[in-house]
Amino acid sequence: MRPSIRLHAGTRLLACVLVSAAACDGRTPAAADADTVGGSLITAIQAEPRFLLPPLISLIDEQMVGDQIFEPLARMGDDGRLDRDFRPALADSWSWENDSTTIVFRLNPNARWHDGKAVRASDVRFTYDLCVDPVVGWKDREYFARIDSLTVRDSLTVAFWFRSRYPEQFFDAATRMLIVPEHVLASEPRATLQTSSFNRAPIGSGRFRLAKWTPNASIELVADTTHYRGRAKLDRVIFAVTPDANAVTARVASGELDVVAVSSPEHFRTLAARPELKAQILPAFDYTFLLFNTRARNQRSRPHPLFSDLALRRALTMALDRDLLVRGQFDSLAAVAIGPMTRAQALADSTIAGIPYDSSGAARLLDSLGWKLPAGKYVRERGAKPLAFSILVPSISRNRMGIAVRIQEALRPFGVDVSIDAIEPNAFFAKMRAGDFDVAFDGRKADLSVSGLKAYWTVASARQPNGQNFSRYENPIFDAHLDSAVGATDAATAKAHAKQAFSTIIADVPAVWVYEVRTVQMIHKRFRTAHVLPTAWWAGLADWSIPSNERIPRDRLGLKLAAR
Amino acid sequence: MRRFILRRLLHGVAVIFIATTLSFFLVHLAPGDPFSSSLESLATDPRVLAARRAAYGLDRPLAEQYVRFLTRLVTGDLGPSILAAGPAEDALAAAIPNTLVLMGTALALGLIAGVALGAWQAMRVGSRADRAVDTASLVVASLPEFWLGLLLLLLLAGKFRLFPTGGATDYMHDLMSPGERIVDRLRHLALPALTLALLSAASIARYQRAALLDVLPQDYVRTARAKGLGERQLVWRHALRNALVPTIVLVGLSLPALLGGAVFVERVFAWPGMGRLAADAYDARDYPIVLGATLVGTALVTIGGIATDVLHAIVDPRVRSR
Repeated sequence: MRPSIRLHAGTRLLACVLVSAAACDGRTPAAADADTVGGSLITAIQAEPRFLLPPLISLIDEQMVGDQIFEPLARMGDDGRLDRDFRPALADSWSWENDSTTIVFRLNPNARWHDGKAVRASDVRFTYDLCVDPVVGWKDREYFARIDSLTVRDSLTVAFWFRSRYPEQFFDAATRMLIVPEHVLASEPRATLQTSSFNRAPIGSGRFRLAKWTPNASIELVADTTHYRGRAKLDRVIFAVTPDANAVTARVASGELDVVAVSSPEHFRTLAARPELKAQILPAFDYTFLLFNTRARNQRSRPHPLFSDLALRRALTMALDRDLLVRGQFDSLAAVAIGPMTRAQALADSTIAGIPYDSSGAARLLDSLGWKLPAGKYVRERGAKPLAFSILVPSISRNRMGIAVRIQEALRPFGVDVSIDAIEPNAFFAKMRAGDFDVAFDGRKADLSVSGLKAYWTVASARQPNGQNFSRYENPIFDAHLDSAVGATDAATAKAHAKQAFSTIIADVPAVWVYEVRTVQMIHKRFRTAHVLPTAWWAGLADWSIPSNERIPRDRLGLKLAAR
Repeated sequence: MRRFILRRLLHGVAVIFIATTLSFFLVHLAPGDPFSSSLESLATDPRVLAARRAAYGLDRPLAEQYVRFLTRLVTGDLGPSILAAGPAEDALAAAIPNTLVLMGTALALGLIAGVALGAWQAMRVGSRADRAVDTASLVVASLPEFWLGLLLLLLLAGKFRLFPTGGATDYMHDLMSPGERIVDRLRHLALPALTLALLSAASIARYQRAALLDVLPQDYVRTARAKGLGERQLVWRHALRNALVPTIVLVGLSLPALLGGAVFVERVFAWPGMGRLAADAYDARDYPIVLGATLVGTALVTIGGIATDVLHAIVDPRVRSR
């Protein structure tokens, strides 16, 4: 298959006519260039990146910076589809071979690293080797399980060999890896890549390169003016480290920041009132849930005294008016979660019946389970044992803390005694890993693909020592449908199996699905945006522009800072 | 005097050693470690995590790690930072000057304003103005640093746009003339320093007022007044010097609070200082930076305490003989 940039004859003719027309509008090419090229964009990151070496990147802030400096083989189209509309990046073209179990990528011969060396197919193989090496610990390594191997055919051609066909194989091969330079990194010991100076002085092939890193303050990227795909339209992108969300809002309101992602109603209201900003709502990919531990705390061989009981899990879900909880915390910036998915995922199915809010039904069910409210007491008991448990919450999440308190209040009238165990993230992760919790207020970022669910909800992930199925939920029927959905070669079959998988897990109630939060992008109106992906608004920053007549003083600096 | 300073220095070294030792064990005993502080680390093969821990010597017994930490410390080596991908001392060296500038400015402003305000109140004790300022200073002194910082940020930077909202310099700083650069730095320093200074000034003013009210009825002041000295001269030239002793002690005692406050203020104003670095390092369990910051913080407070004691001894010779 050839990429879409190969134009048909008619299209080429039309392009010639348009180019000629542009040439005749009285403006010189330089003037036209000056109109689209130039300007600065300043955005906030919550924390300074620890790593910019792509296989080590795990935080959104790191990804935002890394995606400007490094390139994948191909990029997703603007619709965020996993099966088509990809745009060339390092690879100029690609083709399928061997009954679609091999994809061959041909690199752009003009592609260069920021140090001037040519990008070669061996760099792709080196990156692949890094990514699949368990010592490196790449977070997406699981997605490469179905890639058998990678071979270099010549200096510009590389072939991915798959174990089997599946719909997302191109997406996995072309977009998940950001390619890194072998000639810089080959001598670095893989076990200590975390301490490599490359993390602070990365050399990539992207349309921006690192210009200045002020510790704990900002990271400044400038356009690579010699880039083989043409220089970025913006001169520079600055990532300002701003840990406090209130301070971020103040900085945007005062014009010091140009773009920011907002997910709290009060900040949104403040910024929506600014006439110089425009809002862009991004689909939700973050969802949260109250995870029931089905195994006893710290004793995985025994069932949990409360939450191994499906009926109790169901009763607690019925007791919570999740719509009220979510609206109370987020107004309209979030919706009630529908399962281990978000509505934005292609295979998500919002028609699956969840467990509805039914206060009297919840009380009846608790009664029928033997959890009775003794006279004069406020907490239900069964055999003198109170219906009491704690919810583990990461204290840094204001939203989860807020909702946890509301849940505590909501369950109190039902005679359920909930305590909130608010702890810092390290302790949260440690307790999750050890299974030392009753209920945990957990959250996930959904992938475009549903294959990511395997890491969290399958039997295998419940039994692996480093599995992330912390509730130890196990249902082979869910696993089978999920496998079939991921492996299906047509969309209809995938959708049908995904629906079965989601129906199964929702009925099993391993968690109360609480909310999926939308993100609103507040952008200064002078920017003309491009390629804003549902999962990564920053993906097309190199193609964002500012018309010359709308630029502010800091947009007119040119590339001076880079030259100093 | 020399003996007195030497004694205080030895005491200071002991304090730094104990504080650093305690921090070492406490931070290592806290849940998690540098390689289990993120969601992704949960998915990493335990063997890989073990190898990473071994690379930093974190697999060794705690006592052995402690001895190695002390051995390195003697040569000024805190070890490689896990957060900043380089020597921990480099990360701290970049952040410490910013914190010193912030704390120094806040302390100087707070001291000047607090002493002046306390003296002004003492001159009109019991008046409506005195009561109003007393109430106001009590309110300000009771405010949490981050709240006051946010208030000033939203009001003076967000609404009236008098100051920048964060950072230590503007993005165009490097392109400015030397004069513009100084103004730029001062404008960025204004709000974080003002936040800390207001809190210091409020406490100092209350102490200063009380100290002056103790001094003013004394005989030598009455004598000076009987000689016909004006009230202003009486307070500023005679009474204030003696009333400064408790304020000097207060300034020394407030250094830890000032340093603690800087952590919150640096976060609110995105000030690239040591407090913020240490807080981030603690979240990531970056032991070398946490311990380095503790060491520097304790040293700052200890040196400040010694300086206070020396000043106190100069002002009040009786202290030297104790």
